[in-house]
Amino acid sequence: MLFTPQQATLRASCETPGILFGLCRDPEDGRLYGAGTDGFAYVIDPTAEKPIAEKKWRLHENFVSSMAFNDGVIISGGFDRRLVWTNVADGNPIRTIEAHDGWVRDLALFPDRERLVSVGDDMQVKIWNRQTGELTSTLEGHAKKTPQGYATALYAVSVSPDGKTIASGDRIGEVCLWEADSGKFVRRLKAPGFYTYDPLKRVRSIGGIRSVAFSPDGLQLAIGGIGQVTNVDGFVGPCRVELWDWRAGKRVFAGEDSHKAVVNHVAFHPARSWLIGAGGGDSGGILAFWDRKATKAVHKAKPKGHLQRFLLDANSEQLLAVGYGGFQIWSFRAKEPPAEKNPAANSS
Amino acid sequence: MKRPALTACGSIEHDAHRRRFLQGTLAGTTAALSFGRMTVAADDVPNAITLQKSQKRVLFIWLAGGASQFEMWDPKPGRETGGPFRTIPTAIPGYHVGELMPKIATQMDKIAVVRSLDTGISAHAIAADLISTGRPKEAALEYPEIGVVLAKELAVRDSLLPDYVSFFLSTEGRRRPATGFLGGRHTPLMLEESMRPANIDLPQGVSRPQHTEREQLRELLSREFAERRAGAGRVGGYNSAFAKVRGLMQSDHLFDIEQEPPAVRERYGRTVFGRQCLVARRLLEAGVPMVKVARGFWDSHHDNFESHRELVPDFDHVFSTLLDDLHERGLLESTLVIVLSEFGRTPKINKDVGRDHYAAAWSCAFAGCGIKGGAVYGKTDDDGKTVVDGKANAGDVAATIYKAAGIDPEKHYYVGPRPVPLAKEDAVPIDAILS
Amino acid sequence: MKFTLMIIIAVFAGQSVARADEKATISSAQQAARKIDAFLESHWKTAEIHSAPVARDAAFLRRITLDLAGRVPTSREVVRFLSDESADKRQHLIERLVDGPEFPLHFGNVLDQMIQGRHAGNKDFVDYLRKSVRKQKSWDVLFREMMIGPWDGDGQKIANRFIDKRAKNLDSLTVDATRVFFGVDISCAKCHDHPLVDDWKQDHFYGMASFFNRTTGGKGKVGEKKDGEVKFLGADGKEKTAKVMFLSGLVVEVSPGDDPPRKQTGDNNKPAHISRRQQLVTVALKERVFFSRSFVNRMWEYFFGSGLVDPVDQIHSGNAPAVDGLLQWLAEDFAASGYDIQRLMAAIVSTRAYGLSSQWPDDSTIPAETTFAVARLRPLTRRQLALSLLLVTGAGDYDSSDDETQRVERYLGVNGIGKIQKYLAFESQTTALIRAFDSRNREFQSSASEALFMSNNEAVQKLVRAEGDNLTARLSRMSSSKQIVEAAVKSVFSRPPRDSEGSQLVEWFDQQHGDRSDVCARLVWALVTSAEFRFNH
Repeated sequence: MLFTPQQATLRASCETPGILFGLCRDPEDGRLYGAGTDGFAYVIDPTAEKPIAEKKWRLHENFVSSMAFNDGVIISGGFDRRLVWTNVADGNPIRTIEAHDGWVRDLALFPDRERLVSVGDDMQVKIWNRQTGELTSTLEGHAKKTPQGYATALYAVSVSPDGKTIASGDRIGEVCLWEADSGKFVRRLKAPGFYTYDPLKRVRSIGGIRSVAFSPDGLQLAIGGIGQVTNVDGFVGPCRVELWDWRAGKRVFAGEDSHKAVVNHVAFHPARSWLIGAGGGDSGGILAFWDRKATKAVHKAKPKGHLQRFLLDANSEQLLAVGYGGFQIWSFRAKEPPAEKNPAANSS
Repeated sequence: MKRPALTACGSIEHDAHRRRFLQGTLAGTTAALSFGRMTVAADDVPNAITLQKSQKRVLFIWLAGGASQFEMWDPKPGRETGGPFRTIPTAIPGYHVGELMPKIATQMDKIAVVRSLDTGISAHAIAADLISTGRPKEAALEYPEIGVVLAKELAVRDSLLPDYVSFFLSTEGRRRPATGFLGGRHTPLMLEESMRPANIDLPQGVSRPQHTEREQLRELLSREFAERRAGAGRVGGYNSAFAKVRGLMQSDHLFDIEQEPPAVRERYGRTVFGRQCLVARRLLEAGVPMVKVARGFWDSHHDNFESHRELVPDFDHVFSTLLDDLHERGLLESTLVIVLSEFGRTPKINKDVGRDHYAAAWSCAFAGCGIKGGAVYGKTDDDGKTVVDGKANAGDVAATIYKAAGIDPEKHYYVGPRPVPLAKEDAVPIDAILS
Repeated sequence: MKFTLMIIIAVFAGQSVARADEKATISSAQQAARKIDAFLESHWKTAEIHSAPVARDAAFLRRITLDLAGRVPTSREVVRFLSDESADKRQHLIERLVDGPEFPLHFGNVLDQMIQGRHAGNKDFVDYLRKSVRKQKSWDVLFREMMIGPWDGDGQKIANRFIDKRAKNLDSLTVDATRVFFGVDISCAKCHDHPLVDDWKQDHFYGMASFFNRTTGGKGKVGEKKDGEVKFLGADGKEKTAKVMFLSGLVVEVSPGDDPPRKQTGDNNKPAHISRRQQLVTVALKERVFFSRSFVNRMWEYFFGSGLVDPVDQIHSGNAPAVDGLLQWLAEDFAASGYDIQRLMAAIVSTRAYGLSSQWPDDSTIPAETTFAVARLRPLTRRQLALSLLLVTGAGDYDSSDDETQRVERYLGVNGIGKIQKYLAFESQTTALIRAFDSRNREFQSSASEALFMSNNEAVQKLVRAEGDNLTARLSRMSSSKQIVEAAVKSVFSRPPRDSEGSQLVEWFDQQHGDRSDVCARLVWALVTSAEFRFNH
């Protein structure tokens, strides 16, 4: 079935208090877990007719920033500086690690699920054994302070589909790449367009690379954030994504749209050429689609509120997101066709 | 009228003539001023010698844009409104501050905090006017900013230094301290483009003695012109401005941060705010009675926590360095330090992970002269939404400041026949934080 | 014959007022001036005070040139006026200035500041005002144009700028309009009945707001919605709908009033209905007291340094005018004249009171400002200061125009094209200077930064240093210090030096060390920075 970004529609939204930042899915039963500002995990069944969010267990003693699911266990990172393994059967924590000397901002499971990687505001990238929780490497390379001497942050991490490369993106617009096995530093990509320091009006900064994602073939890296901001009190700048040939260290595409927002999460559509960015800002929430040819987004959908993260379901017919106010389920499937149909006329 | 000898400024003859002239003219106009016109206040300015020892100074740190009390003085950890920052214990048992202020935490015994401000106005410009004058705006009377009043009260006669230096380097929310009915001679020296006053260098082709000569001629001509002139008080103000020029040129070195040893400069750090506070300390130490440093702009409607992660540690480091520095130099006892914004920020975290303006429950802080270090006054509810104890308004803050600086808040100026107290009539100084 | 001549002049000169009308205007202005003086004399008699003597010629010339042309007089103008022996030379001077090419240029700026306040400075709007003054547009017509148009036609669209700049903020539009055009600041009456002034209740604030709440604009085009009422919370916390009410208390009924229904500006497809702003214009002009008094009072403040009611946006029953009956009479007179601005101006400056000296004859108490028994020091506006500074230190050729320009003027039968060009050229040089000067707001503030600027900034030193054919260069070429002092004082102060003053300055000059042109520069500097130059007196 062919479908286009223009068909994206909000099918359901499930309210939770506060803002959800982290998101993961149980592949067995398809249930979706989200967590955020109140530290609790919430769960929904996205296949239900009218899904409702159910509050489950406390995962962290502070904001939850990121989650991953493996075999009945949620692995989450939080602003309490910890990584926590939680058994979804009973909600009991299996393991708690004081992971970073700073907020844990993002984590990602390796494709083979043997390892996971986390990033935190100590500006370190840490690789862990998923089963034992053992720290196997600590990778350094990001600057510890902004060029003006202020606190910086390490917002995003991604692992390449072949499990060989790790990419992490920070506040000042730099991406570092490492070989996962050896820990060797591969390259730094500089994308200062994502960081705005205002020395004159407000004497501070905003921005950052909020999301990084490898392409399905592993050859390219997508980056999401906000372009140059005119008023650093807010996300008052164009939403922005870039695409890099990370091996050559070259940018191959930059997408911006006048919709003023930060792209909190960027992802490739597995089958299509689209880059999807979700976020929010001065112009409101955004779900934007770029075709990697035109700078401007080819389609923008208006989510309820500011989105923080999303994932595409197995068939990629749905986009499951979290953000301000809870979960949102978006569908790309065209409306159900009428009962009797001449196949020739069915061309959605 | 006898032409005075052309002597250098500061000579007794020159000075006496000047004073006689000014007094004479002012006496002529006092009785006849109508409501709303320029005021005439008795100049009870203490002379330089007796004041050196007891000279008071004020450093007014203005956090423009509305700093978040949740992220600083009145954290609510674990509450829905609290945000992600934890708290740390301070030198005051039972009192915690946000984790972004570890250095200030150790100095809390020198600092007093008021957590119970309820000031009603949450629009930038109007709130800034309200807080910085201690009064709501009146149509017919323009009130002076608190710093202007302090500069006037604490000024040392015949000082060659400016009475009031105001730094507001960021352009957003920039405020120029209003002199209101006190009039022109109290206009602060405003540093807005750089940390050095503009036009402070001797012009090319004019030597210092020549510079002085021509100013003396200017002043002589102006004084002669002003004899028996209606409205000559303005000439007085005009001449005062020029009288300040030489003093300002001579104070040039005070604004030069390179004059400080590298170790000291390192200590304050290389951020703009750090450098400004170091220059401020130099000015205070040299005897400038009133210095205002504005750190703008705190208005984090979006991404509030990231913004405060950036701003608060800088403030923590610089402020604590400043307190230590003043203390080490024996200046803290005679220097009142104020930390104030135009309002605080909302308990609710909005959809852009930000906080908006909030004037119903917020905080400010003080240290130094007249302040009881370690005092924590007032309380807000568990979520920081309302004040539950010790409500204080803008007038109360102003009254507290005056009292801490050794000035009676009920002292009156006169605008025509109308007596105007320094602080609003119903203002009550917060005695709990005064020593 | 006269009629045909008038048409030719009107067509080629672009001046739309015939000589005959002017003469009538001036003489009736003089009548009004006599009446104003009578009020003041009666006031002084009651207060048992005397007035100052009349100002000397040089002082009068400087004052009126600054007030009407926005600059100090040139040396040539000083010489001409001082050597003129005719009895009514002051009257002729007034006529020349009011009628001259610089008056509209200067006064356009004055009106811009008065009307637009913080939004002043838009070149197109200033030009619109300048053209309006030049065409002798009356104040009620200007008001009407700014409120409701017409806004089509050459250069007319910008007339909507007062409304347009405030259209997105109803409070600001309401408060500013009421302040500027009616002399009342009702901002305090928004949240509760005015705490200090009995006249103004919340009903007044929201009543005035009701004239504006339907207005749309903000991007250059101003329109008005067909409906919408103002609702507000009374002090008792209950919501009320505001009546459309003018300051006088007159409530405008919803049904058509005195004006026949007119089409909404710029919208030809909708059925005719009455615009609220249109109703405001009708009511304000019908009631006329607030409208006329406000402008008269502001003009009075402009020329005398304080209004008959002071502050000028505080006209209310608790703030009595300084002189009994004068404001009322002059306002009525202004309205009856058809709100003729030039006539009002001429009337005020033709009074004996305007021409009084600012110096008191002896050491007795100088009368209060509110008696207008003596002229007061008024700081120059930044623009006046900048222009005058450039003029006096410059090459002294402001008066002269080259042959080409003179030929054009003769061809068109219009004087002043050269002057206008010179004025505008000087004006373009003033931008940097203006920024550095203290502005003349109600409480003039002399700041250290202006003093530092004048003392040390290179831009100023350049003006006072000998360069090209500027004042200092010309002075340096003179042979005696006496000549130098005389020429310097005349150029900068627009008067010859007094004897004692002259010898004092010569003595100073001769005592100075260094290069002659440097000494001249220091002398010029001291003159342009002295209070006598800085103030209008």
